[in-house]
Amino acid sequence: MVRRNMHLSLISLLVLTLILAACGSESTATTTSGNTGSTNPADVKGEITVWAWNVAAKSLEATVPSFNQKYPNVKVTIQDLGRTDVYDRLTTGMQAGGAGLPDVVAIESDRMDVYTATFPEGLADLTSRASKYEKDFDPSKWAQSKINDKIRSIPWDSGPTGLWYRVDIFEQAGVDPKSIETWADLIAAGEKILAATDGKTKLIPVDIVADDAGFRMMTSQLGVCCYFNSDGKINLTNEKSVQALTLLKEINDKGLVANINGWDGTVAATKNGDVATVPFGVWYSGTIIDQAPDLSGKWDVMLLPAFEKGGNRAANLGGSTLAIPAATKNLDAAWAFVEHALATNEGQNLMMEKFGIWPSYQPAYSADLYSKPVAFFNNQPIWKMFADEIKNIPPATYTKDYAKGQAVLASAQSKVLSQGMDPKQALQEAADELANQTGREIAQ
Amino acid sequence: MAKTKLSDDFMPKPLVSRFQRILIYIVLVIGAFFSLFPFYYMFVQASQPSSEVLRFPPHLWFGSSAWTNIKGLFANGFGRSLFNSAFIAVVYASLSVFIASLAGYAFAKFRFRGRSVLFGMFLLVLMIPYHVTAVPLFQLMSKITFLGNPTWISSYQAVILPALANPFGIFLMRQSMQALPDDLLDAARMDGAGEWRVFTSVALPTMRPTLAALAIYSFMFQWNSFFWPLIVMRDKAMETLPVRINALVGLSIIDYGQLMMGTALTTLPIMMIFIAFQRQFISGALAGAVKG
Repeated sequence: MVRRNMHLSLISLLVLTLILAACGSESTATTTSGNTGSTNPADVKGEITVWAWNVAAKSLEATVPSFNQKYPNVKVTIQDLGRTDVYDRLTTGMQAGGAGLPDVVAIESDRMDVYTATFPEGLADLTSRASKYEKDFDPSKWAQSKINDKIRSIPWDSGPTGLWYRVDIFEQAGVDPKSIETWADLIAAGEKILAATDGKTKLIPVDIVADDAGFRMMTSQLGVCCYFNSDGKINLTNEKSVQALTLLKEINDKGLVANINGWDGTVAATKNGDVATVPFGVWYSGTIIDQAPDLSGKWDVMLLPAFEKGGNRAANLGGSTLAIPAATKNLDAAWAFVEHALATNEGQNLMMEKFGIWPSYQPAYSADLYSKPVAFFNNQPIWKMFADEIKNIPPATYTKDYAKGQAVLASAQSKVLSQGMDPKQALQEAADELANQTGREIAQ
Repeated sequence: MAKTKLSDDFMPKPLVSRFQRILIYIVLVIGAFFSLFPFYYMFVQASQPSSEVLRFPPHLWFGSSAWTNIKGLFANGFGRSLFNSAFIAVVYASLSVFIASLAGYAFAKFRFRGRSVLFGMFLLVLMIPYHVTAVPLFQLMSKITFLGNPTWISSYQAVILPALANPFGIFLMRQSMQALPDDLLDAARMDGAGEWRVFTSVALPTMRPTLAALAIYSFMFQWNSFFWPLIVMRDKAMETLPVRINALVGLSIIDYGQLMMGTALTTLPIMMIFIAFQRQFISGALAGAVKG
């Protein structure tokens, strides 16, 4: 009886294996990059699908009418998806050898390395079509799109950082924003504000246990972002990273950190006056306008304070790219769409004007809108500041282990801010932990 | 406890005193408040414009944007997703309950070779995390050209079929069917009923509470299911509700009003079903537990 049962289960196992083997993988489609696509636009035909998250999808949608004027025979379908949902679908599609993938997909710049490392030929090689645009794009972003000298995506938006601040609260506390040049100046201002608001308004929001965004901005400013150096070694124990985490600890020790919970917590703190400043990317302008319409005129922005007087104040946080999966059946149409949306003033500025998506394409900054004052932001020409900042942003390295680095750093940050651990020791432990997880060497 | 007197047989003393009763009611009211308030709050938030949802102090009464939020949702494919979710959940619940009752009946009432091995394999399936099967299953779906479709990606069957033989359902039905006396089935057979007749006319009717519970469970499983529909339903017209609602979460801008309204509208059918069938739901769950 037992033996018979064994037979049965063996047979079912065999059947299962056969079924699985029958649908085993075919080789991934290889990339074609010969065609430069300089033919007559009317000859570019077909249907393409584009995946992007929410507002970004809407902004791409806005470029479709002008795209169709140039390319009347391409039908574009834009699909909006949740932020991480894009990645879940993209990854399964690539694992299945390119099945069910779109023709164009949005990928955050810091995730690019994950895809190019896991699926080296998963994204189409755009080198021959795109290299002519190299000088036009934000150099730090372009570097992230270029993997082993091949261009695998086109930078879409950049995240030049700024210190968003409440004009009215600064005034109430008698702080002149123009006097703030260094982080030390800002901490002094934060103490004044805390006193003037009876402890209600802190200086900056930090999601202590889950997000190290502040650390990333500071290290970007100091040129050691993010966790790894260009040789792929773990780069956390250097003097500058220690300096960044020490600064966060100092702000926290003075009671100037509002410990918030996640993205929604940051937005709530921004909206409800729990913080006087928010150091974040240019894209936060859209969030403030959307979520705090009643604070119109009360927000303004300056560059991040420098670590020492005269030091660098430019940094980057966030930003994304558009890539074309190699499995696309219509590379010409997909490229035409990406080129129109990202490498023309028309496409980029449409998205900037309507949705505040900051162009990585620098020629776009010549438009009028970048020198005009913005009523919501204290009637200041804030876009000019960001346009000028772009070229000073130090390059950053992400690698495919970036997400692991983020998790390890968040935990190090929590040890320093909540348990008072010495920043240097916390970063040493973080580096060891990351070495354990990734098998990478620690840079000396 | 005082010894009961004769008179107590005629005028039964309440089990608890008035004071205890008031105390119990107070505890129950507090409990009810804590369980119901989140639902109330969800509907309040669903009626606010996006910029009011995160306000502190929070709104405790309804705002005026309910209709705007509903319109915004429906303008972006919510209606189609509602249909997809309802269609998938209803078809799946009916078919999987039918299959589970057949399989459960066979496992409980027929003796055949390999019965326990087969049953063991079903239980084993329960222990495989769905992440492990997602990619192979997706490859399978992309390669199937059955029924004239060029691929099964973005098709209803891609969501309905893979989970149809639901191990939990089969397990639940087997446990319930085992409690059915063999004599009852034999009596029906003596009266000349065929096996099919025995199953439909004798076995199934006695299983009604379990069937109802399993149907609700299966419906909710598909209604709430997120990961697999996200992966396999790549055409926007085929998306289910949870996927559509999650698409409201962008990089830096989230429409919280629509998000809350979408969540409220998605929760509503489940709440109504639960209220309508709560007796079956509870008795079915108990039946499985007690007889197991």
